Amino acid sequence: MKIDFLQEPELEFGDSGRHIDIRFGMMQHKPLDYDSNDAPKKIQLGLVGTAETIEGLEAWLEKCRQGIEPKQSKQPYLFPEFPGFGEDDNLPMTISFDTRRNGTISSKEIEKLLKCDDRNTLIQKTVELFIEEFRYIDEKTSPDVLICALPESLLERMLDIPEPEDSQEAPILKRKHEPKIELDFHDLLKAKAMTLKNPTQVVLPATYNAAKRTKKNSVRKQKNQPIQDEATRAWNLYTALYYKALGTPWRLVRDPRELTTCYIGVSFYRTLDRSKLLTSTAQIFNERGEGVILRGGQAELSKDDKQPYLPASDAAELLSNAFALYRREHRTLPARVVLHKTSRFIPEELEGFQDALDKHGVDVAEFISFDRTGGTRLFRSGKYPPLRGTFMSLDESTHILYTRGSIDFFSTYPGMYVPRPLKFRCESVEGTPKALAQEILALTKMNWNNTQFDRSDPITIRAARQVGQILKYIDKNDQLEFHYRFYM
Amino acid sequence: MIGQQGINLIEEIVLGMGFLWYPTGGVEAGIDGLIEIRDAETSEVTNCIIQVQSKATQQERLPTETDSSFEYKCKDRDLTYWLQGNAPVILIIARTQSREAYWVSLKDYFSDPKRRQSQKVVFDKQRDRFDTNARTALIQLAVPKTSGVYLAPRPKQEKLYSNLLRVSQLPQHVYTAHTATEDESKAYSALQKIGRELGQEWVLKENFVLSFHDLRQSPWSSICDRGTVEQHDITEWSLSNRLERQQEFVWLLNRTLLEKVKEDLFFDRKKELYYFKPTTDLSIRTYHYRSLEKKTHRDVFQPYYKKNSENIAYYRHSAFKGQFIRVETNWFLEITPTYFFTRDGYMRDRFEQEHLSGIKKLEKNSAVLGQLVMWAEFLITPAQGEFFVSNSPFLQFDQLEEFEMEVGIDDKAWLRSEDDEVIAVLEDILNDLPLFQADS
Repeated sequence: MKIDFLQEPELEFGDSGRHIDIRFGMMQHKPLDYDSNDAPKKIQLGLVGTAETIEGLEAWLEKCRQGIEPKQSKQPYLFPEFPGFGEDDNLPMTISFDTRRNGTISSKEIEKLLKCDDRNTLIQKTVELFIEEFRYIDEKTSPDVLICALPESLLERMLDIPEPEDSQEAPILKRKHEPKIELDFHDLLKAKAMTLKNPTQVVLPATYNAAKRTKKNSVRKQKNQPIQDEATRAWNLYTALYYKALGTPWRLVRDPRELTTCYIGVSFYRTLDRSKLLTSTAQIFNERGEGVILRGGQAELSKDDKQPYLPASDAAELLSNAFALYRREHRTLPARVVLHKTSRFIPEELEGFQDALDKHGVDVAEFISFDRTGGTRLFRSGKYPPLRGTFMSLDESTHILYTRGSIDFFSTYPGMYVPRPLKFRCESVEGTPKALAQEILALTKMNWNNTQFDRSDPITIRAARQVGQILKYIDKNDQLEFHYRFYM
Repeated sequence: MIGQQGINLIEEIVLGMGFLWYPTGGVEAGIDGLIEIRDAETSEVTNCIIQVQSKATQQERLPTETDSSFEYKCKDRDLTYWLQGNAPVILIIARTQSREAYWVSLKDYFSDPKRRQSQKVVFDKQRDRFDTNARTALIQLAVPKTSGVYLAPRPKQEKLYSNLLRVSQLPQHVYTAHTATEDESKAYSALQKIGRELGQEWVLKENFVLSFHDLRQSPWSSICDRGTVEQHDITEWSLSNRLERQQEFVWLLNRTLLEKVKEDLFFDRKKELYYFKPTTDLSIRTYHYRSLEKKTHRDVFQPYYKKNSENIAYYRHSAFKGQFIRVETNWFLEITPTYFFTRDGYMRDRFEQEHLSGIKKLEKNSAVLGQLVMWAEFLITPAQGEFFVSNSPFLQFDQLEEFEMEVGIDDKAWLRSEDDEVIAVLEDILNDLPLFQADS
């Protein structure tokens, strides 16, 4: 066993400027592609919501344009200001909205929805209503991004409807007989929006209205995260919109001497009815984080330890398809593949992947599995937990990487309780564990949904899981979008 | 001459921090030199500057000096000059004889009008020591708050404790046999009956028994098919590369651990955690142990009361999850401290999730480390049950694996720049550090 430390990876922004921090990087160097013709200069939003939520969001976006003061804090690096945006600003993409592109949901319709007694029905009907409005606006005015401005009353109702069964009475037995499906508003909306031309963004009242910051700041149950400060909220929304409008805000710093690399995340999900079917999803990235989604074949469970895996032929097919998609985007094949998987590789599966590598003449491949169940931890003898970047090798293949932890740049640990490190295994690799860990650490910063850089999972794994959550609502023959912006 | 010796001392300390030192050869009231903050890791310079005013002395004791502090009175003219500048200015008192130096940030110190009037600086000899430990504080002073300038973390030797408790002793042999009966449930109850007296360090899989107990001996032999009993070297299981054997061995270790702690702890199958048993009269249970250096104690079972009431809302039990893992050829118990909540000392409380997330909002690194150390001590030292129990012959632990790290954190400097509500949590008694064997 040994221990090491990895320095915080830098990201590349506009004019080749570099920074370890996303917000300071954007403020000082502009987004990566700002001076290219493809960069989004002006994003047109199509807002759907009640008269109140639309008005609230429009007013807040207007405020964001002027800039948002930093949170009153002694931590200026953790809570920087949002500098505002505009053609001549360092955040040059402007955000525009127009009543002609808005869809207003009447209070009558909301009232009708609120009468729903069943959570799943309520979610389903709400999604249907929003999709209907989206479709109308999408076809009529084709905005760049469609915004779902969900009213507080619906959000509360979604979270407050009690479970139909009395949880006191042997819930385990009941579940066994009849698996209970719990719909997720966000994921269902994304799945149903797949038939629209443009990506969507859910904005909750808590984002733009501090007064609404009660306990509801998530559409997901039991996932009430601590409330973010206003400038951070502005940063997160702006960046997500920039990416959804086909911009590239930042990328990994790549040494031109390094091999061109394709990153793939493979994860598994159960179909909605929780029947045995497991299907894999893959997410293909280059260093710009241009994500492409792929739906893999049906997975199986290994006899030994019940871990999901892909049969050889499906593994080969998945990787071949990934190469085809990569070639379509980049006109060439990568020299190196990094495959991150949420379960252990089995020999049969590795053979399948190897077949595809041989067939396409890709020489270098790194197969790395992630283990969420691992509980190995480290403690400092101090007030703060170990630094992000702390890297412990249990043996040659098994490693622990602190992707969350104390952060020197922030001079604090920006998290709750004690951080949970990432555990991974190098199953069949060419690079050194330290170099591969450094790459994983950098990939945690490729999350366009969040501008605080210390995310726990690399985007490969995070996106693959997130995509699986949405794909479970999509039938095998339904239309599928390829770009990650439709899933985030 | 003395002045130059003072400057030399300061230069030495500044270079030791990895920063740059530019002497200015200044005039009397002027600035003696500049410190430029530099990234020791990348050698990148930042153009973040601190001005330094040095006052060197040969005196062993200043007139106002005590064991912990001394005063320095600034001239009004000097103060005006220092405070009107555009860069941060620090005053360093350098003692050339003992080679000690003390510092203060003048603009911060004299922002208080009363102090400005008195013109006096009171130095705290511990807090204001100018040595390499002042590095983080100098960075905080020099780097503008909104510049986004970043440096590599501080090079510093630090000890990291893992939650891996090393298994120091395992038996030499394991025994296997097929049971005499093919009926698994019959075999199971027979084994359990024997185990109640002799220990449950066995596992049963279909009609195959794997055990640390010698199955050739009575009464174990009575339930085995005689011809099938075998003695194996433990490494056939403990170091096996076959997944099936690894799983069987972990299972056997779990049973052994359960047996080892059964006097003091319960095991909850659903949550898969061990927790302290309640006292018979449900009063507080305190566990006394040596926290490596000093005797200490912790309330490991205690009631919590309803708001404004003498009625008990629930009981909290100290608990841990334990997972045996093999690293190369060694076995470890990976300990995850947590809590268990009951209505009456026995039945799980229905709001356990709320209680747990409540406490996790308050506990930080040091609190969790404290619990980890307690569990490690509990598992290392012999059982403390009400009755004397012999030490488990099959499973012994020795210590948590430790590591030396080359970079670290200046906890005190960070704490100074935290917002008040965070400081309140971090300085809560809950987050007091456990006491370790003195390293220094």
